[in-house]
Order: sequence, then structure tokens, then C-alpha cells
Amino acid sequence: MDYREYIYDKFIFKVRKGIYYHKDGCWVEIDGNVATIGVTDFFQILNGDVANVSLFGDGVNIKQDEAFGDIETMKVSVELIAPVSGKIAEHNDKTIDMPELVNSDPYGDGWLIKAEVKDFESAGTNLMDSDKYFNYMKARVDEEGKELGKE
Amino acid sequence: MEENEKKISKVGIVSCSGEDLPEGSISRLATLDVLHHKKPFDTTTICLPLYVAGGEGDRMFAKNHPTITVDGCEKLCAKKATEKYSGKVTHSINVRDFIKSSDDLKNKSSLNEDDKRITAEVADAISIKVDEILKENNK
Amino acid sequence: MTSKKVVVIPCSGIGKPIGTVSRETANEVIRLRPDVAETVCLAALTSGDEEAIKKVKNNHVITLDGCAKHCAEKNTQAYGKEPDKSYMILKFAAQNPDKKPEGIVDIGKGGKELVKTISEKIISDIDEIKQNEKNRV
Repeated sequence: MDYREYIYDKFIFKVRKGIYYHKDGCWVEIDGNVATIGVTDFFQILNGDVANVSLFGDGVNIKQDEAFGDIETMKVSVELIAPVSGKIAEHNDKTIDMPELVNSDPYGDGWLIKAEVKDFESAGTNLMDSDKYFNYMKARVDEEGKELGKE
Repeated sequence: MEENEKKISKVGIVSCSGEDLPEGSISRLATLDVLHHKKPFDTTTICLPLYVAGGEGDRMFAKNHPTITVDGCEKLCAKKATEKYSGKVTHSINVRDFIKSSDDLKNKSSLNEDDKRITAEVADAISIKVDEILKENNK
Repeated sequence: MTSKKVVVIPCSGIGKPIGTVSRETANEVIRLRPDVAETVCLAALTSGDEEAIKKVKNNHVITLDGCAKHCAEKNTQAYGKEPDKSYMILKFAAQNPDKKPEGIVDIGKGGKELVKTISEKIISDIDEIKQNEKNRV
């Protein structure tokens, strides 16, 4: 995997190239009509150590901009917002059993669900590519950076 | 890695863990006081166990920013680790220098009023050094 | 043959409340089992302190990590000792959502209850380690 990195204080924020991003914290990688979805590095750093992951079940329809589950960290409970619409085909059992994977490998082993997507093209207009997301994330880090690491 | 941008000059504070010693508790509490109350926007904590275990961000920060180490005893673990992984320590503080007699610290898991006074003195000393370092760096 | 102690090594991470929970749990275990349990400073171990290394090599070891970075476990392994048991406070916190630590300096009521819960589990495991040791003799 290829990344861009932004360093703020002691935090290194990684943005994976070649995938798409939703402003509310999820990334999506599309392969044919299958979307793999997870949370961004910025999301996991901002929200802290993940204690529990709850996801909608296989076969459930998800809608872009709406919740498909939630993550409970030591700091907060956060809804997971779907970056695309589709039907959940698979969820990552490994992440349910070892939620710390979301922190240690958010773009790899820490993926959350795979969904069958019918119309990625129209969903894509509401998503950012990695360059756009990098700039968006950088602005958010600069704005919220002072609160990072304060628990 | 395509891009690597530094942002904001701060001082990194590396405290020892000091499990077996009340001085370790003082080191930790004084550091936290500076990080959260006295100098919250001028300092960052470097978590010593993570730093030693290979924490990339912590090591990179300590390499590129001034650091203050706070140790509880003559083993100087925080100072040694910072020197080993980052090559330099801007200023080193030892809690023992603030203790007038070995009778001052008795109970390792809870601190009495004298211990709290020492903690406050150490925190003040760290804060003063933070100001000096940032002033020097921003000349 | 001298009976081995159980060395409880917390990560004591300073950046998170679960680091403080690891430290206070180690203290609590030692308070409850002073004849068997003791601790060693992780930083001293990793700075090559001979006393710390000897203590770890010659006794049973339990590591207590706050988060999934596993600093206590990794650093102990790096110094040639595979822990008898390794715990992650985050997992206990996930199983006990009503016992959430509040702050890094003061973990609050929830944090203290979490310390108690984890300590009970560790003491049970220490008793098992010591029983197994007796059975082997």
C-alpha cells in the first residue's frame, strides 16, 4: 500500500492512495461491484483506542451518509457513516474479535465490511480522492490538533 | 512516503515510569501537571515505554524537537532512552535533586503533602525550562 | 530451591488513562500478594539495568499493557523473557463498559473498579502459577 503522510506533533496521519474517502471518517476501495470499507487513520487517531466494533449484519442494506454500525473507544462512541450505498456481503470477524486492528491497521486488516454496490459512479460524486482527502484531513488536523493526545 | 510536513514547535517531555519508587510517581505527576495544566499548548508527552518499543511518531518528534527528560533516580532511564533513540536531550531533570532528605518520601503509591509540594516544585522547574527553550528556539 | 516470585510489569503509559490503570493494577496485585508479587521498572529493564534484567530472567513474569501497542510485552520479550501471561487493559475495559477510567492522573471510581476486576483475575492466575510450581516439585 502506498501512502501520503502528514506529521503533526508526534502524530503521523496516513492517507492511503488509490481509494476514496468520505468526510465522516470512512474510506472505500472499489473492486468491480464490491466495496471494501474501513475507517481512516485520522478517524482512529482522533477517537482513540477501539474497545468494541458493532456492525449491521450481512444482507442488510446500507445507505450513503447513514450509519452502518458504531465504534466504541475509551473516549467516545462514534457512529460509522457509510461512504456508499449497497448491501453488506461480508463483515470482518477478525476486527470484531480484535477491535485493536482498527487502530493498528485501519487500511489493511482493520477493514470493517464489504458491500455489493450497484451505482458507485453517482456515489463517487460525494467522495474525495486521496489528494482531496489529504487536504481536507490536513485542515481538520490543523484545526483540532491541539486536542490530540489529550485524554 | 511522498510528503512529510513538520508542524508547530513544542517541547517533548519524557518522564520515567519509576514503578518501584515514589520519585517515579512524582516524575509522572509533575510531567502530567505541565502537560495538562501549566503548558498544555507548548508541550507534548513522549510515552517512554512506547518510545522504547519503537513508537515511530514519538521517536520522530523527539529527533526534531527539543526534549526535557524527567527521571526519578540515578538510573536516568528517560535520559538514556532519549539519547539512544534521538541523539540529544535539551534538558534533564532528576526528581532526587528536589528531595532534601531520603526521609521525605516514604509511601510509594500515595503521596502526602510534602510529596505534593515536591511534585509542584518539579512541575514548576519543568515549566520554566519549557519557556526558556521555546524562547531560545524562537530567536 | 528458592521459590520464584511473580514479577508484574505494567506499561505505565503516560498518554492514556489505561496506562495509569495498568500501573495501579500492578500496585494493587503487589499489595494483595506481597509475599509473591513484585514489580520492575520497564524503563530500567529496557535501559539494560542488570538488576532488572536478572529479576525478570529468574522469575515468572506477567505483563500488563494498556493498549494494543503491547509495549510491556514487547519490551520484555526484547530482553529475552517470554511472559508467563500477558494482559491488555483495553480488553478488560471492553468487557466492563460500566467501569471506564476517567482521567490519566485520577482514574476515578470507574477506573478503580476496573483495577479491582483486573487484579482479581491476575491474582487468580498468580495462584495458579504458584500451584503449578508446587505440583512440579
